[in-house]
Order: sequence, then C-alpha cells, then structure tokens
Amino acid sequence: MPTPLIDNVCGEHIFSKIYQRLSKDLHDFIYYKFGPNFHPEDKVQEAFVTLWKKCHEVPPEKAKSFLFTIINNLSLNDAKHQKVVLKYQKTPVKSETHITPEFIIEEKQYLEQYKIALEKLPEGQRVAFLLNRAEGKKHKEIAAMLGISKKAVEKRIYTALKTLKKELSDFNI
Amino acid sequence: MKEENLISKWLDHDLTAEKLEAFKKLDAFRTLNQLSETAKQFKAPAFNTTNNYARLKGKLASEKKAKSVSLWKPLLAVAAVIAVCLSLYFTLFYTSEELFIAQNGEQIQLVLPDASTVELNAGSRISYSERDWQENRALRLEGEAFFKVEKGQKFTVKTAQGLVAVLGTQFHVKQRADYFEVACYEGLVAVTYQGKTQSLPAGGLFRVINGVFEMNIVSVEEPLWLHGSTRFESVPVIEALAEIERQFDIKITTEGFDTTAVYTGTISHKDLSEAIDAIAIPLGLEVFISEKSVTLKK
Repeated sequence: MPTPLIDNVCGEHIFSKIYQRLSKDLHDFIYYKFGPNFHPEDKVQEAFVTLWKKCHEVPPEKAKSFLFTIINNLSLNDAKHQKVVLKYQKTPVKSETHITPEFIIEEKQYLEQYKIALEKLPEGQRVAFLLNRAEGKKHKEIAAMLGISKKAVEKRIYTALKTLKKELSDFNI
Repeated sequence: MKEENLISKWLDHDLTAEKLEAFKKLDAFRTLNQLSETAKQFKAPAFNTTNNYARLKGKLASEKKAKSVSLWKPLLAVAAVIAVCLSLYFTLFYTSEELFIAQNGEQIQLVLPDASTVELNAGSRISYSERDWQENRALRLEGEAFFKVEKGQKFTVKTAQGLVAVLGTQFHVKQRADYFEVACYEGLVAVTYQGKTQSLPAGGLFRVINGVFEMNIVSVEEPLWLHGSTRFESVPVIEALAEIERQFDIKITTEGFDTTAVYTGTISHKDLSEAIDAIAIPLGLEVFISEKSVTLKK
C-alpha cells in the first residue's frame, strides 16, 4: 500500500484548509442539534484545539469524523443540563401586500408553534431538516456530513416535514 | 410524475424549472412551501470562518506557550520519583536488611542464610542483615519465635526486653508488651535481661511477667504453638487472650473481671469458640462472639 504524502494534519496549510472546509458545517451541526444556547462558535474552536493537540494522530481523511465526534461529545456534556431552545430571525421572509393586524398576530403564533415543534423534533431529524431547508444543502451533502446514508437523510427530512405539518395543521396562512 | 416523487425531488433541491411548475400545482404546495420558508427563519447565524480562524490561531499560540512551560512538570515528576526510589533503596536495601512479618492469624517458617530455621508465630516480625550474617549472626525479634540454630558462631536474638545468645541449639523466645519468655529445648542459651546474664540449660524456662522474674522447666519437647495450640503455665489471663487475638486476628473486650488472674491451660489455634471456652469456662465467663470481635463478661 502506498504511503500517503500527508499522514497528519499538523501542517499549517492543511490545518487551515480543514478549518475553511469544515468549521461552518460543525457550527451549523451544533446549532441545529442543540440550539444557540450551547455556544456553537466556542464548541467549534474547542474541537479544533483538540484536533491541533492530537494532530499527529489524525490523518487528513479522518479529520472530519474526528471533529464531528469531538464536537458532539463536547456538547453532550452540556446537553445533559439544558433543554434545546431555538431562535428565529425577527424579520419575516415573505412580503405580503395587504398585512392585517390579525395576520400579524396569527403569523407570530404560527412562528411560535413552529419553534416549539422544531424543538420537540428528535435531534437527528431537526439537524437534517434545517440543514436541508435553512442551509439549502442537498441530501448527499448532509449524508456525507453526518456520516449516514442518503436514504436515511431523506427519511429524516421527510418525517420531520410530516411532523411539522401535523403540528401546524391548525393554521391556515 | 407522481406527487411523492416530486416532493422528494423538491426536498433535494433537485427540480428542473418545468417540474417546479408541476410541483407548484400540487394541493400540498402551499403548506409545504410555507413550512419550508419558515424554516429559513431558523437559519443559524453566519459563521465567519476567516475571523474565527484568526481567533483560533491566537488561542493555539497561547496554548503552545503554556505547553512549553509545562514541559518541565513531567521532568520534575520523574526527578522526584527517582529521588524517592534512591532514598528507599538506600534505607531498605543498602543495609540489605531482611524483614519478615507474620500477620495476625498466620505463622511463617523461614530459613536463615546459615540454614538455621525460624518459626514465626502470629503477630510477630523478625529482621536481620543478610550482608553481615557471615560475621554476625544477629537478628531482631518482636513477638514470638522458635529457633533451631545451626552450630557455628554466636547466634543472637535481640528483643526490646532482652538479649538471647546461643551457639547451636533449639530455643523459643516470646516477647510481648509486658512479657518476655525464653525456653531452651536443646543445648545452652544465655539470656541477658536488664544487664544480667543468665544461662539457661536444655529444658529450662526463663520468664519475666510485669517485671517479675522466674525460672522454670519446660514440660514439652517443642513449643506447642508449632503444632496448633499454645500452652500457658500460670500466666495472667490477659496474655492468653492477647494470644487468641493474634492467632484468630480478632478483637477481644473484657468486662467485669480481673484480667491479671493467673491462668493455666492450653488454647487451640484451630477453632475460635473452643479457644475462648478454654478460658471462659474455668473462669466462669459469659461469651459473646460476633464476626470480628469477642466480648467476655463476668
């Protein structure tokens, strides 16, 4: 078997490249899984500090699964004590021409209900669903990121969508 | 195209313009689109890769500095371990001091460098210098032991109470807190006690209990404890009880009787209740035995 040219991630160049490629995904993964209260940014930094300390033991192709495992474990320690709380942006995305006060109230309620439904979703489903809908990632990308099959990703997203639909069936916006 | 198929393609951001139109005509479109659009409001805040990488580099640099300082820590630890090992070596082994301990409830037999043998009774310890043994056959005893000494140079047993010196013989030394006893079974033994030396012929017994000295004769060929029992001839009962404590590794408490009363009898090392009875019945005591302790009451 040929020896790979680079067998660890200690080089500044390769380390920086890994950071550029994975840091946002790691951040989003933690954000969608545990919510903003878990300080996803800090968790990303912590995970990369760990990678740096162990850089001799990690070949580049293992860096992704190493980082995802580390960041997941880091957050799980906190997760025992906290409930997932999500946040939504205040600015509504769509622009309606005739906005009635009733509509605004109803939309607010809808958003609240949506938030609760999202928070109640199983972590795996929420992560896949929001990576897909909010981040616009394709199933294949999500599968690669989470280390699961494309079929599993599809199932998670579809189930999440079905649950949300059911939870929000009272609203008719 | 089937509805399900369209939805799954839509979910994978994989609809051509033409199929998108078809999707928009579905009944479910409005709800699905609404759900999808709302999800965008939960988008994670932007992650600034460049800034965060710069921050990380600063953090790593400071960690490195901290690390290079802490490099000394393991070295110091190693140095400390070496120092401890050396001092242990010099105190324990440089004098080549050998130490044997018979814990409560056990008896051990050991052979000295000149082939003399020692039987060490329960709760006793013996130490000697192996290096000096050729010139000086001397050992230190705390407790009780039976010696079979090979002929040769003077053989000395040092105890806290007195000194026993012999040439070649079999003898028994018992040294306990207020008790010192030497019995000679063969040959001749010289016992030094408080500066006075007394020679003890075969069959002779030298005993000091609570400072009271007496000479007697031994009635057996070897101490009975070598064969699983202890013979007591007119000793304070507290001595016999202490022996039971050592042989069975238990704790004995006494209530309401004089523990200096004189006792004569034989105690088995095999069975605790038998041993206790050997004392309790002649003295008319009540016995309470629990797992690790015995109470005797009058």
